[in-house]
Amino acid sequence: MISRDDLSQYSSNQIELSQLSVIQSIFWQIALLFVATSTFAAESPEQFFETKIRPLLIDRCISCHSDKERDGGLSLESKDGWANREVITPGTPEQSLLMTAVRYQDSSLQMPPVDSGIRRLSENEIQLLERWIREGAMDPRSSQLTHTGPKLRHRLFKITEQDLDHWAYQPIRDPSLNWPDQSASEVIDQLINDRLQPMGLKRSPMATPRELVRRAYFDLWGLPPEADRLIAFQNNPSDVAWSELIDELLASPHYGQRWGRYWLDWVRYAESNGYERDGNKANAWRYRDFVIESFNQDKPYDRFLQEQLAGDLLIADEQLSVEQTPERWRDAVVATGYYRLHVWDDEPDDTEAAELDDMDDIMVTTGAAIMGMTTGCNRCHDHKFDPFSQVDYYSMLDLFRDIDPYGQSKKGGGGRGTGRISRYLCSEQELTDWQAERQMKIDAIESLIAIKSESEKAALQERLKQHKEQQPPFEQALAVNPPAQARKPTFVLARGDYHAPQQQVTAAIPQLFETSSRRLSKIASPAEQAPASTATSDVLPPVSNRLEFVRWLTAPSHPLTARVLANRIWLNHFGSGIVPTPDDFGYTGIAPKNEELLDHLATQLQRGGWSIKNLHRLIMNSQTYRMSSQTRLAEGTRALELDSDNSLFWRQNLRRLDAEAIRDSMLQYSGELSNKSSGPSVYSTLSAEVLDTGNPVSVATWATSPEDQQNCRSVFLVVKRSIKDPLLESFDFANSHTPVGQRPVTTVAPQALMLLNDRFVQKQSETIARRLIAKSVDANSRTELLWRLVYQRVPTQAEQSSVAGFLLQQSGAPRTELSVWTSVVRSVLNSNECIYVD
Amino acid sequence: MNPLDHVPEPNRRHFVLDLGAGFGSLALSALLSDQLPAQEQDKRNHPPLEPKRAMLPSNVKSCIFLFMFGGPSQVDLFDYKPELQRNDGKTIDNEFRRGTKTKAVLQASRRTFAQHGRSGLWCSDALPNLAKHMDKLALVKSLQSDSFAHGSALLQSNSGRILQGSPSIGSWVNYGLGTLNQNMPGYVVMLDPRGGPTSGSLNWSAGYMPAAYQGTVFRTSDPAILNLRSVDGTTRQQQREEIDLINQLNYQHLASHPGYSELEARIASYELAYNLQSEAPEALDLSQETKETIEMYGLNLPKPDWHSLALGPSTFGKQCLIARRMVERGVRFIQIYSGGGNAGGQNSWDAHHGIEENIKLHCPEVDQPIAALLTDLEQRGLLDSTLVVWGGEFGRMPVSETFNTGGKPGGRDHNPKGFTYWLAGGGIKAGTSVGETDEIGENAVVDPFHLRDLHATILHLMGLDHKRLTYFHGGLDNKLTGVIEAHPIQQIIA
Repeated sequence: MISRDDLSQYSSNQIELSQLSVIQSIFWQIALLFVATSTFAAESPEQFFETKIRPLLIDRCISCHSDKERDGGLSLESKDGWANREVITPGTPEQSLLMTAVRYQDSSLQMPPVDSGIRRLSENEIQLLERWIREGAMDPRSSQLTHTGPKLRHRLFKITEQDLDHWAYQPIRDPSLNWPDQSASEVIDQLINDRLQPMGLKRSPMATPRELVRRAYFDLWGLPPEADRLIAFQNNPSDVAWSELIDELLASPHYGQRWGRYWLDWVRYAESNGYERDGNKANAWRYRDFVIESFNQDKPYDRFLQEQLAGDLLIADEQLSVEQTPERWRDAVVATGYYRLHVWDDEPDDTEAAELDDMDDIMVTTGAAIMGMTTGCNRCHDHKFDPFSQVDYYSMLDLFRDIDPYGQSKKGGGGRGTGRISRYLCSEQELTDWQAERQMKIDAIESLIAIKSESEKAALQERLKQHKEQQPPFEQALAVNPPAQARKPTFVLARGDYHAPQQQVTAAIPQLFETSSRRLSKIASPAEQAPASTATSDVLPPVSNRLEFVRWLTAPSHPLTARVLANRIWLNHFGSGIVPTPDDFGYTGIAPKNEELLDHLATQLQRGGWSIKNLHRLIMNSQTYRMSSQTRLAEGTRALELDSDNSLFWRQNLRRLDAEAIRDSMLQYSGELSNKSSGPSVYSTLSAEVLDTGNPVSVATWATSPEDQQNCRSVFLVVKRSIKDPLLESFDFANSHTPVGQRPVTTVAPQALMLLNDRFVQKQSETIARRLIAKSVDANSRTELLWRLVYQRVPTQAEQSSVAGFLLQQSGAPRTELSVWTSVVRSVLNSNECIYVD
Repeated sequence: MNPLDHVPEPNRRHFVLDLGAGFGSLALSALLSDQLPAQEQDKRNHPPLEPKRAMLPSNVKSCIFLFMFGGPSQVDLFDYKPELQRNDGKTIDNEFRRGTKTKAVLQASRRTFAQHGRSGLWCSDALPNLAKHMDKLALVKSLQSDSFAHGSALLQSNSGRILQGSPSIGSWVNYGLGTLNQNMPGYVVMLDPRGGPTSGSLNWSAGYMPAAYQGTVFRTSDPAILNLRSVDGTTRQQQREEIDLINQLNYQHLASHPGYSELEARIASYELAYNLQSEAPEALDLSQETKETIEMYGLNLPKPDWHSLALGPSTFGKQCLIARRMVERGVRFIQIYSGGGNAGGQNSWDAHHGIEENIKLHCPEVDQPIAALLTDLEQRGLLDSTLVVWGGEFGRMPVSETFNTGGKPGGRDHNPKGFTYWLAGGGIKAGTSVGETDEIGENAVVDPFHLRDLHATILHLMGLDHKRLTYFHGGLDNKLTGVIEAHPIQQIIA
C-alpha cells in the first residue's frame, strides 16, 4: 500500500535521483537509436500500445494487477483499473508512481516485488513504459468484468454522493402503497412476481401439506412435526388452518428456543473466555435465557436492543426497580450481559491493548449483528471500501467507554479495568442490609476474640474468616454496573496502536448518517418555502450515550436496523437472504436483487411495533413461502437455467437441518427429549478422544452433567469456546468467536462417521428400535411406523423392499433383532430425507 | 398421490457411474472444476477439499510441522553464543515481559556446541542425531512474534494472529491446494500423550472458514479418529450393508429432487467415510514397516525411568513414522506436537523449572525420530516433495529464571523477541542459516523476521502466494499473514 507519507517522500527522493536519471536517459536514448529508429516514426499510439505495452503488461504486471485480482487496488488490465489510482500521470512519467516502482527507486515500493518470482523489468521495458506514459498513456482497453467488486476509496476520507446513494443508506420506502387493496403477505408475492415476470418465470407451485407442516415445524421450532397436527392439516389444508398452525407454533416455548439461538449466533455467544485457560463465564446462561424468553414474549425488537445496549441507563431513565417493576428491571440488568460475551485474555501481553481488543470485539459484533456494518477495518485506518472513517470508529467506541471493562488478569489489578462484570439480582437495599448484618456478626466475633482466652480464639478466628469470605446469597448475572470510575478518554489511535494516540474524540454516530440526514432534510424541504418545523424534524438529535445511540438505531428514519433484521428473518425461512451477506450491507456485501421486498418487510417490522412474530406470520402466510422446493416441471427447469441459485426466489430452497435441529429431532423421535426450558447449561458426556485434545485447564472445567439431564434441547448445552460438542461442531455449529449471520453448510465424510458410529445416535436409534419391536411383530408394519415417525409418511413399495432386502441380508449374520432394527433406524436417521427439509 | 410411489428402483452401480465420480472423489462437480485456484471457485458449489492448482511452481506436496509446544530454547540448541557462554552469572537488565525490565542473571548453556557437516551449522550436543543432518536444514535464527504468553503465541504460530477465530496454517494450505487423497483428512494433527497444547483445538481450527478445513486429531492407537469405529460393534460388512440401505433411501429421495447437487455430495460422503475407516487404520499399521525402519525411529526404545514425565523417543517416533506414511498417502498438512498438558511444567518445552532437566527430558524424545524422519524421507525420494518445519511458539531467555524454581537457578522464561526455526526438504536452500540474535541470544538483530514471514515462506514453498491466498470474511479479503506486509524469507529458498 502506498501511504501519503510515501508520496511526499517520493517527491524529495526525486531530486536526488534526477542526476542519475539524466545519465540513464542519455544512455538509453543512444541505445534506443539503434533498436528503434525504424519503427519509432511510423508507429501510431495504438500500434505502439498493441505491439509493445499490452504484451509487456500481460507478461509482467497483470498476474497480480488484473481486473479480477487487484493487488493494492490497482489493475493494469484495463484503463479503468488504473485511471483513478494516481499511479500513472499521463504525460509526466516523472510524476507516475508506476515508474518509481519499476525503477526500484523507493525501497518500500518495488514492482515486481523481489519475492514475487517475476524478474525485474529490463531497462528496455522500463523505457517503453516511460515513453508510453510520456505520450499520454493511451489505453484502449476497457474492463471486461461485469462485476468489478467494491472500489477502493480515495485515500483522503470524504463522504461522496455515491456513498449517500448506496442502497442500504437510503430511507426505507414502503412499496405496499402500490397495492393498497392487498394484505402485507400478498404484497410479498407481488414483489416476487415483479422480478420473475420480466424473465418469463413464475413462482413454483405450492408444496404438499406434509411438506408445509414439516417446513413450518422445523422453521419455527427446529423440531419435526407432531403426527396429529400433521394429519389435521392434511385433512384441511386451508389458508385459515395454515394461519392457525403458525399461530400455535409461535405460541410455544420451542419457538424461542429455536430463534433465540439465531440471535446467539449473531452476537457470537459463548459461556467461556477463550484463550489458554478458557475459563467459564459464570452465569452467562442467564443472558441465553433472557434471549429465549424475549423471543417467546415477542418483545419488540427496539426494546430488546435497548435492554442489551443500554439496560443500565434504561433503569435510571425509566426508574425501574426490583420492587416496582421486577421483570423489566431484571431484563434490563441481565440483557447487558451482551457486553460480557467477548473473548477475554486473562494473561495479555499488553493490558491496555487488550482492553481495546475487547472493545473492538464489541464494536465488530454490534456493527455486524445490528447494523450490517463491517467495523473492524477502520480501527487501524479509514475503511477502505465503506464510508466509515477511523474517526467514526473511535467516536462510536467512545459510546461504550463508560462500561466497566473486564479485570486485568488472574494476577488482579492493572490498567485494564476493575473487573466489575457482574451484578447481583437484588435491590441495593437488600444488598446493604445483608452487608450490614454480616458486619454486625463480624464485629460481634471480633469483640469476643478481644476478651476470650487463647484456646477459644482459634475457633472464633475460623468463624470470623468464614463470615468475611461469605458472598451475598443473591443470584448474579453478567452485566454492566453503574460506572464506578471516571470514564477513560478516547483517542483516535494511529494504525490502531494504543501507544500512538492522536486527536481525542467524543461519542458520536458515524458521520455518514449525519450527512445523509442533512441531505434528506434538504430534499424534503427546499430552503425558503418549507416551514421550520419539518425542516428540523429529520435532523438527528445528538447521540452522546448508549441509550441515545440505541434510540437512534431504532428510530423510524434509521436505514439499517430494520432492514438487517428483516433480512435475517427471511434468511432463516428460505435458507438465503434477500441480501445474501446478512452481516455486511456495505460495498463489500452483495446488494439485494429485490430491494422493494426487503423494504416492504422492514416497513412492516417498524409499523408492527417491531414485532418479530408478526414478521414470521407475514412471511409464512405468503404464497411465496409455501412454494415447493422441487423442480420437476418444464418451467422449473427453465428457471433453473436462468437463476440457478434461486436468488429471485422462484421456489423454496431445500435446506439441510442445522446442527441443533439434527440432534434435537433425534431426541424427539426417540421420545427422550427433556422439557428443560431455562437454567444453567448442560455438559454432555464427551469421549476420551475429544477430552484428550483439550488443554487440561480447560478440560477440568468441563463438569459433565448427569446422563438423565443431557437429553435437553441443544440450545441448553454449554457453549465452551475451546471444547465443542462434536456432533454439533461437525454439522457447522457457529464458531462463537465472530458474529455468524449464516452458518456454512458443509458436507464431509466425518459427518457420516458421526451419524453412523457416534454413541448418541446409536442410543437414540436403539431406543426407537426397541419401541418398534415392542409395537409390532411384523417387519412391514415396523417399517411403516418408522416412516411415519421420521418422514411423516408411509413407505413406498420400493422402500419397503429395500428394508426387507436388508433384513434378509442380516438374517444370516449373528445379530440380535434389536441390533438389526437399530441398524434400520440408524439408516433412516442418516438419510437425506431425514436431515433435509423441503 | 405420493410422488415417491412411482420412483423406479435405481440401479446403484449405474447411479454411481452417472455421478462420474466413482468412490475416490466427492461429486460430479469436482471433476468439472478443472482445478481452479481456491479464490476462483464458487465456494458454494464445490467440495471444499478438491485438488486445486498451485499458484506458484512447486514440487512440495505435503508439509510436516513438528511443533515443540512450550517454546524450545534457541541458546541451548542451535543459536551458539560465545558471549553468553563467557558471561555466565553476569547481571543484566532484562525485559522479561513487554515493557517490564528487571535485573537478571545471564545463564550460559550447559551444552557443548559444535559445527557440523559441510555447511558447518552449529548444533549442541542436546540433539546428537539431528546434528548429523545439519546439511539438510535451513535455519532462521532471528524470528520474532508478538506475545509472551503461550495461548496467544501458539495461536499466532498457527494462525498468524494472537486473537482466536482465524484459520490455522493447515487450513489455509488445504483451502489453497485441496487434498490429494479424498479418503484421508487433508490436515492431520497428532498430540503428545501428556495432553493437548494450550488452547487445544483452537490451534488447528478453521476459524471463519468452513469446518471442513479444520485439523483432524489422529491418535496413534486405535481408533485413530473420533467415531472411526462403531460404538455397538457393527462389523465392517454390516456397515457396508447399512450404507447400502442408506444409499437406496437416498437415491429414491434424490430422484424427486433434481438440481440439488448437495444431495449427491452427501451420498458420496458416505463412501468416503467408509473408505476412511479402512485407510485411516491402514496409515497407522506399522506392521508393514521393516525392522530397520522401526528401529531407526526408536520405536523399540523403552520409556526411561529416571523421570516420571519422560517418554523416550518411541512416542514421537511413532508419530513421525505415521507422518511419513501419511505423506505417502497424500495428506497435505501434518502437525505433530511434542509436549502437552499444562504449560509451566516440565511436561512441555516450557523450561521455567530448569532448562537442563527440560532438555534432558524432551530432546531425546524428538532427536532420533526427527533424524530418522529426514533419513527416511530422503531414502524414499520424498524429501523434495515434503517440507519439514521445526519450531515452537517462542524461544527462551538467556537469563536464569528463579521464581519458578523454588529459588534454585536454572529455568528459562519465554522469549518472543529472538528464536529459531528450521526447515528441511522441498524447495529450501539446505545447509543455510539466516538471521542472528544479539551476542547473548535474546533479541533478533540481524535480518529479523516475523512469524508472518515464516508463514509466507511455508506457503511460498508449497506453491501458494500469501498475498493472493485470500478468504473473504467480515468485509475483507483475509490473509494468513494479515494486513502487515510479509515476505517469504528469500535467503532460505532454493
